[in-house]
Amino acid sequence: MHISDGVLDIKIIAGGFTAAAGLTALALKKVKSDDIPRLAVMGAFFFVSSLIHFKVGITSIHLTFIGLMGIILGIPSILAILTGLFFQAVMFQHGGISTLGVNTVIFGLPALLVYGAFLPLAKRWKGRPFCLSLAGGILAGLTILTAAGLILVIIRFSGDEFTGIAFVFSAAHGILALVEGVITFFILRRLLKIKPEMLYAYKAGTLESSG
Amino acid sequence: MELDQYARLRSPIHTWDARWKLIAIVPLIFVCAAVKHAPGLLCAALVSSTMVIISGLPIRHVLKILKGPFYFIIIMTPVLMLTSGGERLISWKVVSVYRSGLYIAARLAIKALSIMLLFICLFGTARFQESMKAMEFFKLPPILLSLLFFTYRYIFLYLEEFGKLLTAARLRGYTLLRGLKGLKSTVSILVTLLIRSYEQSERVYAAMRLRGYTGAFPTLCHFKTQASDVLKTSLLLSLSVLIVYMDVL
Amino acid sequence: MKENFILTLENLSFSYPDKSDVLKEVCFRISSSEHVGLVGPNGSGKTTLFLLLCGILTPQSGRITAMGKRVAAGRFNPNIAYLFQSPEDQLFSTTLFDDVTFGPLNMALPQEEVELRAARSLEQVGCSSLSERAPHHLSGGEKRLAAFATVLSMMPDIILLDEPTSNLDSLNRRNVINIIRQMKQTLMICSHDLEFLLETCQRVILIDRGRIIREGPIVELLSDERLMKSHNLEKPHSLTPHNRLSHDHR
Repeated sequence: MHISDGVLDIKIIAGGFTAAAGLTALALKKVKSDDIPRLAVMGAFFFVSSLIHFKVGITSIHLTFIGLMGIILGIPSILAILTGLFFQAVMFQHGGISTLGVNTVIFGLPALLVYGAFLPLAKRWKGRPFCLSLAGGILAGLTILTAAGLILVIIRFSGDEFTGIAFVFSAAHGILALVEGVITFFILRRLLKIKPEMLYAYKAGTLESSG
Repeated sequence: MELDQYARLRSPIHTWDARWKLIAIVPLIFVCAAVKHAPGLLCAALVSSTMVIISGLPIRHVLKILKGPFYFIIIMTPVLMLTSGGERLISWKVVSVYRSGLYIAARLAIKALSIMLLFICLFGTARFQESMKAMEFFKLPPILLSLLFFTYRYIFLYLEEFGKLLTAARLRGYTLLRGLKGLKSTVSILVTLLIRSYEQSERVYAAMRLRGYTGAFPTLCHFKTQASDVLKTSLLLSLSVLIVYMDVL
Repeated sequence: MKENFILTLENLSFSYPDKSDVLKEVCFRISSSEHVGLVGPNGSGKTTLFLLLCGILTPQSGRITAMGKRVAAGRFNPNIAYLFQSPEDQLFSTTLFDDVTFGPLNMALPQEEVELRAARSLEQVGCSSLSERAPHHLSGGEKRLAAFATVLSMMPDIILLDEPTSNLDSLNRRNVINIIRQMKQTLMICSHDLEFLLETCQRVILIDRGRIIREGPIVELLSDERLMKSHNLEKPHSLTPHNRLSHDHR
């Protein structure tokens, strides 16, 4: 679910880093130093969660949590995605280091779109957690399709030789989108019930404690 | 998993000042990503593997790290041979095997492995925090740096916690995500952990504030440039230029 | 007279948005170098009290004065330190050394002073050899001691300790006791480990449902069986003439 080293043309790599720098700059503008501990701790949490592989039929898939990250962490989620991808390359050799920029765009952009779409809905459907979770689930599923679409476009632009392979891999994303959407829906339903302040409020809140 | 396991060895790569190492290897990684033709590719492979040999990192450690990219290439090769187009080797009804697919796969393999080898040289020969501190010198925003530091720490905490949890789940004889019931229990575990991590982040933030956190990660640096650092870096940078030259030739 | 007290609380009240009267009209005074225990059942407001004392939470009413100055919430105050219940929350750096120097570096001390303090605080808890270790490579007991060192390196005058013996084996618990007994700073220790408090504190404050129930010399207060029972606490065994002893005599 990301582009590996050696696949892309250097021009696309450069373009990817430029675009990622733009997104990062935007996120850095929005983020406050107070948000860093939350971004780090929850970013690490999402990173580790995305390593769990679920058995689906004969294959196994792992979730990305991109949609949920967008909803919970807001615009700064781009920073968590960037660091997550960096550590994925460093620690598990997934993705790549030369393609870090491109991959940040592939995941960061959908996360931003989800946040942008969820925010007005959250305001409108304050008393309707079911509709809101459903919308969140659908948006999360769409992030996978958007990311897959972006991968396809980027690889197409990078040269003809990988187009075939890109189509094969994109087709596999349908099922991932479905699973991601369903799980995000259930998670949001629970969160809206137990701890709604966790969503779209990424500013430092009051400290919870059991006393 | 821990790339810097062998950071304590002594080799010319290990003793190289992390900042100068960064200046030399990062451009070389991009050169490896850029090369297109056989001479350049061969040079890139040669330089990167020589670097790893000089570093004296145990072969088994290096091979373990290369496993990921290697599997990727193994999967990609047949798919590429079937989909790349161009000159046909064998043709059967609608299915054809293309010669250029093999060439593309070889190129992909060399590029991916060279980049990975250089990457191992960069991050595998210095303590992680040292490499991070080196990045501080290149004007990376302090917020991003502190995020990298803190995330690294908590990744290990959650790896441990998830490990325990999955063992516990397996002990109770339950597989993740099988059927609606499996899905529901998976979700409830995830939600519990998610909330716990949220609350932990609040406490971590409090702990940081109590120790004067303002956004940056303050560190003591002991970097010292030596003549050999400059020499190694200029050598490697000229090799990069040479590879580019070989490639466009 | 007032100058003798290093920490004073006057009519402190606090509520969370979803939970009111977590603390109500709490008053007490602590003298310099005193070691005071804080006991009470779960959910009695002990942790909240500590979070108020170190300025993480803002009280709705009342006043906290430490070393003659009012404690302002949200301001960096290296004089008051807080040892969290879980060391995982307190060890947020990639190595123990980075963690121990985090506070002193933020206090803008010169580099030599920072290194000196780091070395001294690690030595004080017996962790000098672990300085380059990553937190995930430390055992539970080592983590606790390490967290202690991160606080000590700031050389605070007042230290608040939240359950410092939880999840420790008896050897590490003994280590913590020895370290605390040697400390000259003013300490407030909240713990369910009453035997531990008996060994480390002179005075104890009993708190329940956000109010101070009683304060006094530790042996006297913890021996009051009826008082202890009515607040879900148990009189420490070491304060009861031992059954086991008569057993041995036979």
